[in-house]
Amino acid sequence: MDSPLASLLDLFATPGNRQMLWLTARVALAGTLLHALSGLALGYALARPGWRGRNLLDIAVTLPLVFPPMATGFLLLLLLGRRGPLGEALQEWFGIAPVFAFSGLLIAAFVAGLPLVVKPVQAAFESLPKILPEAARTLGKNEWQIFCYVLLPNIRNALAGGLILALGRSLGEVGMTMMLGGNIEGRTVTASLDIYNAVTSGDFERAAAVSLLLGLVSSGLFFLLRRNARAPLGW
Amino acid sequence: MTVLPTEPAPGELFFALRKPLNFASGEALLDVSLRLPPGQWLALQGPSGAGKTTLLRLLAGLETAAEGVIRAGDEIWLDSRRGSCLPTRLRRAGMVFQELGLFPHMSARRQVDFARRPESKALPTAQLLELVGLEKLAERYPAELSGGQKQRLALARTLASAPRLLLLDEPLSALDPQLRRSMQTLLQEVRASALVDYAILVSHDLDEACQLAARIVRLQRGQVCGDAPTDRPHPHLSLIKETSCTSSAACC
Repeated sequence: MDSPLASLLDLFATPGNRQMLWLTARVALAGTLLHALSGLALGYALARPGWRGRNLLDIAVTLPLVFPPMATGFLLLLLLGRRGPLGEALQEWFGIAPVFAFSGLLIAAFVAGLPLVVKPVQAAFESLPKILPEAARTLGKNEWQIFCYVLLPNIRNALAGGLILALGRSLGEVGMTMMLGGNIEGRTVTASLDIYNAVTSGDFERAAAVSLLLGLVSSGLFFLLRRNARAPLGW
Repeated sequence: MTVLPTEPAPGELFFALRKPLNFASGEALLDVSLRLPPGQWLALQGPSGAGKTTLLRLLAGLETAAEGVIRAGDEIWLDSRRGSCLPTRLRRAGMVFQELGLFPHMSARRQVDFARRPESKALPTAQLLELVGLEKLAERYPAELSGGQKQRLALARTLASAPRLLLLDEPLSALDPQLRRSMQTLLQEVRASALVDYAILVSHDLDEACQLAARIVRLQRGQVCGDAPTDRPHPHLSLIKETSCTSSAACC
């Protein structure tokens, strides 16, 4: 058996592996972008009390945190699959097949990490003193300016922390990714699925190498998370 | 409701506002109608729960009146009968809050810069910071400033937004006597420099109110129960003096 470091370097040597790692990186990057946008929008909306449908949205966002990933994946497959109500409509109207493709992987990463971004962002918005937006209003600022220049810099650390957690969660996601991506070699196998496939086929060396890589990335994220917690406010 | 004036005097601030007030001890109705000639500073006094802060918030547009009119010179900020209500950001009513509301992520200079309106005729940022004695602390954040420095920054920030109406909600309440005196001097300078058209300040301290304002109005359970100039003897002023306390004893 090669040393872990040699196995790790071997990972980058073959085009198939590089494709798998590039796919994982693309899912992670696109997922982080979606998490940032939806985390801010949903966190802000959920922090505002007294509107209809708030509780329903709160449940929908929080559900992936407590629901088994495999079961969530199965429900999403029923919904987005070719014969699913939403999947069929998407296929018919836009020609998009959301499952067993990159979009399936992205949906899995997005759903898995969403509560980890939304919840801290929501809590941060809720904990901001009401007087901050009020003071900005009396200074002649509109709601968009207040959001960008007053609220956002003050919840920045919560957003960054949530994004790091969500990225870590989506990198390690297997159950939903398998359901929605289909685990198709060369097309929808991400790093976590690759570990699973390597273990089931007895290739422990490969599983160790990919695990080491994911472990290094996760450690980096953990370091960022700790640094972010001590970061000053503002941009 | 208080009778509305038929002929507004030129440039005056006029408001007649009505809003239910909720106390732990029951309900009352804020029903206040006042006129301020240009340049006048008015001090509001009254026990806790009299409606002083609510009145300031109504004028700033941070709360909605059940019924009312606010007219600042030729600008109509609120006319509930016609269904018109100017949003807070367009009213040019600058407010120094009791809790200050400084933005924790902005330096003193950034706070003042941020508050400037594009068409602002307010003093330049450096001059405003100098006016409040913070020119050497311009790059400090609120967490790095003392209580008095924060108060002064909140005032500079509000003045940077070039308000027509300056609202001061107990601006000196949290300060020690020495800082209080220096802030009083600063507010007197602001008053003398005519940076704002009108000002209304809430103060529990009668001497302070007499120093800073040309007129004192006493509120009790949402109603005006005393209105007196501070520069000459007036029967209402002695009434205000007699009842100037924070208890809820009736004065009307």
